[in-house]
Amino acid sequence: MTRKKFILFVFFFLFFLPSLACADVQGAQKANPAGAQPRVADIIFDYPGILPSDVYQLVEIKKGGPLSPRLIRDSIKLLYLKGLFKNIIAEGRDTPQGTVVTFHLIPKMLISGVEIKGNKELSGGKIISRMTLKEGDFVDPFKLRATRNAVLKFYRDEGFPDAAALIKIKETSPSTGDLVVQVDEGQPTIISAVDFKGALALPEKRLDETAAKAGIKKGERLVKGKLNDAVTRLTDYYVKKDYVKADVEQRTAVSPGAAVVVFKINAGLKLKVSFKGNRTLSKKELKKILTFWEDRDVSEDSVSENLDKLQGYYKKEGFYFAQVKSTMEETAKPPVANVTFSITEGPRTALEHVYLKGNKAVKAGRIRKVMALQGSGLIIKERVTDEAVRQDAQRIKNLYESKGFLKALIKPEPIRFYDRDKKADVTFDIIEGPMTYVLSRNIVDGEGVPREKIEAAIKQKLGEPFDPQLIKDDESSVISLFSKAGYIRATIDTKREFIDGGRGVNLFYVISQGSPVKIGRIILRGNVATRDRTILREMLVKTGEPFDYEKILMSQQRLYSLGFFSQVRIKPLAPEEAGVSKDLLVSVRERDAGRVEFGAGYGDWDRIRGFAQVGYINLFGLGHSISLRGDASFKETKAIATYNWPWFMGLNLKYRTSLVYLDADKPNYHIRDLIGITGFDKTFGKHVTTSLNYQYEKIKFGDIKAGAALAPEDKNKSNLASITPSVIFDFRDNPFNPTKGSVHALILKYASTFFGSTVDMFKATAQTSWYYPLYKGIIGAFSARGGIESSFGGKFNIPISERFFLGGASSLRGYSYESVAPLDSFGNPVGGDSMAIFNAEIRFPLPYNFGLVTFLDAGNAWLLNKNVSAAALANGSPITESGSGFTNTGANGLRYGAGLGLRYETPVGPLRLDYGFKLNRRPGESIGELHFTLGQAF
Amino acid sequence: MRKILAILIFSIIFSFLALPWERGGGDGISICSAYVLDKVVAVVNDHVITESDVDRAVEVEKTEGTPETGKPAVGISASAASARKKALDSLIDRALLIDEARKFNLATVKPGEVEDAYRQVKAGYPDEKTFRAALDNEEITKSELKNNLRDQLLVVKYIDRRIKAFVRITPDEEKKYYERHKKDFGGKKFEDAEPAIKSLLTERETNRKLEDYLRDLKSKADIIINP
Repeated sequence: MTRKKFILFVFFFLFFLPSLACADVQGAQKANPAGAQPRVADIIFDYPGILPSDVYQLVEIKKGGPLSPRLIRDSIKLLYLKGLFKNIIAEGRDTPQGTVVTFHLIPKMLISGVEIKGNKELSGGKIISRMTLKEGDFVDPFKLRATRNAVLKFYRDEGFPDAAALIKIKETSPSTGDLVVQVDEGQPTIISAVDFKGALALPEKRLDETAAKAGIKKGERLVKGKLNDAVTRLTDYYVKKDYVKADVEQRTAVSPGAAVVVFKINAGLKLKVSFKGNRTLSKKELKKILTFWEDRDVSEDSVSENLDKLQGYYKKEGFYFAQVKSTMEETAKPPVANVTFSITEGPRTALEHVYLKGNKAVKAGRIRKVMALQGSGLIIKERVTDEAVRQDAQRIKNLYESKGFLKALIKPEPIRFYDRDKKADVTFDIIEGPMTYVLSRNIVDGEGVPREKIEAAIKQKLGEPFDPQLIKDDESSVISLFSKAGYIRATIDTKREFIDGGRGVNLFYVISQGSPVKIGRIILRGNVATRDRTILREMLVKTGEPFDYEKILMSQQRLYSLGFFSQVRIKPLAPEEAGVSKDLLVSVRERDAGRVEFGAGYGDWDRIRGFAQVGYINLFGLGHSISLRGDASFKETKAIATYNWPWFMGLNLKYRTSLVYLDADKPNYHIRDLIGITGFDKTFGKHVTTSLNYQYEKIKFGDIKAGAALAPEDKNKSNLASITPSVIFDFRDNPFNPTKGSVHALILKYASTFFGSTVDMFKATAQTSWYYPLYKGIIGAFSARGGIESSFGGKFNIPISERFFLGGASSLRGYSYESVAPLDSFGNPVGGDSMAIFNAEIRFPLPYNFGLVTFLDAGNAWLLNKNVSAAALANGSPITESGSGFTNTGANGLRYGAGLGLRYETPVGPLRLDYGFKLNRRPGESIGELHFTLGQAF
Repeated sequence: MRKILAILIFSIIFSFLALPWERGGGDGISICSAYVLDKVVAVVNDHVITESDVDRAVEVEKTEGTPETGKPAVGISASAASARKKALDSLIDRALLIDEARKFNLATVKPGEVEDAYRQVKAGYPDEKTFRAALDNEEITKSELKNNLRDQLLVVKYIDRRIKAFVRITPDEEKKYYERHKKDFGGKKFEDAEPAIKSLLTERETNRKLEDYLRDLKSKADIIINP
């Protein structure tokens, strides 16, 4: 081969080989039978990042399956729903095996940070709060423009008319970038003068002061919001001064850098209201009823409306025969409208008696329970109006209907006045009519849900009186059943067939269930930092399951409660389209998962306390959390590091591990404790939480009072290693401030040398608390707690930190913190190995989020262990009584306290101030104790 | 020899550059030319419009008229690019109107109305087989056709209630139109021509108001058009 031929060969080979290969493919495709549908040889996703796991389920084409424009189009539309891609290009490449389809997924740019530059007068935070695009959003040109406009508007409104803003994206990776807002604020407009023009009627000095309160005064920046506020304040000022129709407008002349604010005012006429003949009700009280100032109207219509209001008010206050008349006179100079209300009050009538006649089937007591009119008592006089009588007649009718008396007639007799019209009686004549019974319940159609389930959901029972008001409830219950089974378009119509002159009714529940709908694909959108499985595991509905709205709503709540989404929306795709399955689009907006918290508080034992905490709640996008917290007070220093792993190893189980350092002064000792805790939490349904922990403590006591050191461990270092299983049954309606329900807990602690402990002991504590709504927001709350512990091996070696002490804000409130326990001869509490405590509270609501509580507490801690005496002797503590060797007080061994408390509601529970009195006080003890803390006592 | 070597190296580099490299993917280097199957050309709020949607709309416009008015498209003879732009505009308008109709719930389409429309479409074909073949050809299922018809009816109803219901043509306007176009009515009296004039002017005014309305909607909507 010559050199020339070699070069030509290389050229030919390199340039034409590809064409030959493609020619081969085309040949192969041509070899297919004519008209055969092309097949998909392979599917490739081209994406410059970690490919979301659910994209595979979003393509309608399958490897080896048919390829068609429709399938490609639908795939592109579904992929776009992910919200991550700016564009999607489906590309085909023919091979002998079929067409290789590549989806080029061009990512949207995610804003990873926001930077504000050039701002001097306005803070970056304020500018960001006005911006359309925020950190975590995807960039799109429309929103970029909107963001720029929002920034400029904010600057103009804040008095920078020449401000300019430039917005750009600084790329930090192929799919993320920082949003940079470069601001040129320009010169601000400063108010050079404030002027008032027109018919002012009020002193200019006062007007100047009013405008200044809104921030409109010489030397200030001209801010649009403040200008509007000044107009509102000035208008309100005029109205308050009875110029109810005053007109205030601002006309501001702006020149570069300066503005003259001019308020053009027309005070209008002054309203003068007077009352004549009001002997019982004061002018001040009556004026509150009038709406001239609120409506800013003194027309004849307005006077007439206010007349009706006064008349109505008098009737409501018991002046059944009151007559009110009005006159209005206007003067032009000065412009004044004199409105006079002339009142003839008449006697004030008290409703003495309310009589019921003709009721046989329903007892009077039952009827009176639904009525508003009850008759006057000894102190409180009840008033009567025609409207109140009419409303009660309707209430009685509703009651009768609910008991099957569909034709009941309630006729109020004319009100009977006597004792010079100062007293009145009301009588309701009741004609009950026949009672209608349910003779049959017939469910028509609706085979999608078992018949027995439908029948159980219907509250209207066979053979019982017919209650038409139950029909709506029953229909909702039945529809809810069908909806849970996926029949989301189910409807129900209850037909009634009355027979025997209305004495019986046959009910026909006609159900049209439609086709069942199942959950199709679950498409996730907006999760960038959060992994798909973190969201999917919280979903209570899965692909292929019935389309259950209730479960979808609950899933939404579960996603919100994770804490790292600021918005969660779950909606079916194309809800209006019929179909056997509905794809669900789950759109989330992520929020910063970092947490920094500070707080301060006050407690009666440790007085002022504070804490600081930093944490991150979405580690690895899997919802793992880590936090570091430090607490400090005059009595205690504590540091806690915690790691939480929800859905441990994919199981519905929460793993938790904590390291705690504690240095605390207790009433009888000092403790330094290093604690490691690791364990699992598991919830069952809404109400049951269980946990199992392993806990290892290195404890060192100091400054222990001589008589309080009962166990050898109290004077030495000790290691306490234990397992602590616990179970909580929580049926409260609100854990912070329950109004009904109950909570029950059992906590066990078993420490053994087997786990690495120097102490062998067992401890059990149990609690049960109950909450009952008593009457109009008044709550009765009751709690019982008990505990018992024992050491093994014939020795008493329970460390003091594990022993029971009562007294304090959440215990026996007549006693100070940890002061109730067996005492040594010096009067120092040494702690018990058993305890019982009972609390009862009545919680009264007060206005303005306040509450009042009365309480009664009883309880004590005892030492039952016979070995304690010897141990105490060894420690040099004198024995004061036989038996336990320590003083257990009270005839029956209980100490009592009672008292009053004030509550103030906050979102995290009430602020609590309690004073408890000792009921069986011993010589030398205080009368009681004051406690201040956060949260209910139990 | 050096000259030959230089040509050889140059030719190797050049030929590699000339190869149709494929980005990413685990399929190695493609040496066949790839072609675009479909892509996103526009997004209106949450509605995705693909290139194949535009292709279909162009076809529809050629044969039937614009999607929302049903009138033959003006300027069919215009270039393919302008026909595509017009089709894309129509699809954007349609998406905006569907969104608005659903948002304000001014108009609802009953299942019976969709069935009637479906029957009308079907009646245009000689038999079931031909109808099915037409659907297969268009790669559309019966359910999709019904959904499209429902959207179409929704848009028409919405325009009627949101725009057309507020169009008022005064007798003066009708008379002026009659006077200006008297010869077009072939000697008909005003009273006889009045219904046709009223209908024509109402349609014109509706279209004008619809254009204003769509312009306003477009200024507020999130519309992304990919190049």
